[in-house]
Amino acid sequence: MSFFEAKGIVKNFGGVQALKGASLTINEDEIVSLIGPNGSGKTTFFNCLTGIYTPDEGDIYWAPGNCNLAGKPPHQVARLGIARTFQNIRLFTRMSLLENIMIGGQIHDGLNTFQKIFTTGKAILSEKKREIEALDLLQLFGLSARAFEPAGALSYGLQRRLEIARALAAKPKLLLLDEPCAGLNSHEIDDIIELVLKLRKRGHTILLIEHSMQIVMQISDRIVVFDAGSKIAEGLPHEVQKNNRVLSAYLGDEGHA
Amino acid sequence: MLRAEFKKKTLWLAPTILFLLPLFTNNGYVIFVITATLFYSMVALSLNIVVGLSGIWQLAHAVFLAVGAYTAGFLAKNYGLSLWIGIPLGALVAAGLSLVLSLPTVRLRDEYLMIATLNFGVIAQILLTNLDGFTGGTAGMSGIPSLTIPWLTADGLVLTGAVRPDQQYFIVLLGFFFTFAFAWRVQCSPMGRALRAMREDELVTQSMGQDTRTLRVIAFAIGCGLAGLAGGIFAARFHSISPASANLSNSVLFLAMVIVGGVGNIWGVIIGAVLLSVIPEIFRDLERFRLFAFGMILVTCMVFRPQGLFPERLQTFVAGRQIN
Repeated sequence: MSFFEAKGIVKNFGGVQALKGASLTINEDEIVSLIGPNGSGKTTFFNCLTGIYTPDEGDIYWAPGNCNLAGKPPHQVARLGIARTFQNIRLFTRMSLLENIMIGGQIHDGLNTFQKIFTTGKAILSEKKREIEALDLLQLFGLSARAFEPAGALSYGLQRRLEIARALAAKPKLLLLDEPCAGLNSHEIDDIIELVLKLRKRGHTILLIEHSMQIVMQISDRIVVFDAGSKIAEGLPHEVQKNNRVLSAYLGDEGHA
Repeated sequence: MLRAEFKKKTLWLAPTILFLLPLFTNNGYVIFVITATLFYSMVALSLNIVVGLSGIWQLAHAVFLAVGAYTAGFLAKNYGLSLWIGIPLGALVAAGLSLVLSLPTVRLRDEYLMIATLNFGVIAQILLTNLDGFTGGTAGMSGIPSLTIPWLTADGLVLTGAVRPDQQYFIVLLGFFFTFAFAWRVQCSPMGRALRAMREDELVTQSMGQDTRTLRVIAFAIGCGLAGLAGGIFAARFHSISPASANLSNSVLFLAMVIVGGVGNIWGVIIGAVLLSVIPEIFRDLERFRLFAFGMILVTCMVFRPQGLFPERLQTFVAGRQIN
């Protein structure tokens, strides 16, 4: 059984079928890229995996939790070890960088409600530990000098980095990145690529959505291509690049003639 | 930072002045106004946990205050229960009632939630008016005993020459400090951080593993419980409570204190409460313009300074220690 396996995911919005039985598997310690033209259902697929949408059909087997994720609410999916970033950056803009990261670290604190409200007993230690871990993470992402600024004050590129850091603070077993390079300039893109490669060295399993083939080719172990709500191809980067169905999905039927 | 140093060194002044105030003045009116101000600050602080910290915009805060007051008063009058027990019980009943209100409203947001809580307030007021047996009907409940501090009963503070009002002052002051400490604690806690995150972006907070539905219910219950506590102290101080205290204009007044002072900023909220309770006292002769002026203040504030006079600042406390 694979580490993560989504099978036959269907999601309808009224009459529009956004996902028509989409499937995807991820093995441990692998970086998988999900690509596809606009409207092919990549983000909808992400939202189904993370509990933001409930899939109409299909199962999502998750080995570390030994359970089916389909239909679980977002906070439970997160607690089972899946963290994500968002296509349009969604930081807590009026909170400091440190706090943005600390909220991610609060996921497995094992505190009861009383300890959480009054910061007593175990909560004091766990808060201190969380603070140190958050500062370490900011260091890793090159953001520690700005730890006490509001997240909204960061440039777009740095906000992207912070969002990845926040997701990592939850110590996820699987990290989902929704277009981590969207809207970045080439210099910032290189930084993100370097970062993703660094994360791979640290043994993170990553699924990412990306448009730019150039980036995808550089960082992925395997590529999955979606079109019109289902998987049309899968394989190593150079295989996918030559796949006829992929070419026609991206360039139109006659584009590759 | 120089400013932080200065703040640290002068912070103890405020509670000291408040505690010693009856030594400096015999003026019952001044004490009365300050008592009322402290009371409003308590309510505004409790509402700030719900609205400022958690972004749960509600228009029924006065109801929870009244429920706390009625509970404490009812138990004291009918069963002779000490207010030292009755007031905390009133707070618990108010928090319990908020849980009941949470059942149908936890899925509502923003203006829908405001309309639902507004209606809840209207229903509550009708109930308070018509359940004569418990509440004393339209006339309300009067003759609620004073809350007395056992070792101060004889003649109050002999030092000042004034008697009982001083003691009542200290009780409200005690309630104020309790509420302040509670609000401060919640704001600096892991829970407070989760609540602020929820206010900023609920979906993302869920994706960070926080069960926001539970968070909403807890934050609402804490705020309403503290409002119930303030209500109980109000009942003990003024010896009476009427259904009118649960009405919409009071809820709006409390909300205005939070908005004018600075949504989410504890100090700002207190200043909002001070302004909106002292200003009407100063302009007492212009009573008939009160509502007009009040509306103007709210509109002006919303247009020109929606974040309030003292906007929320970044949280720099972790586990009770200031970092940075």
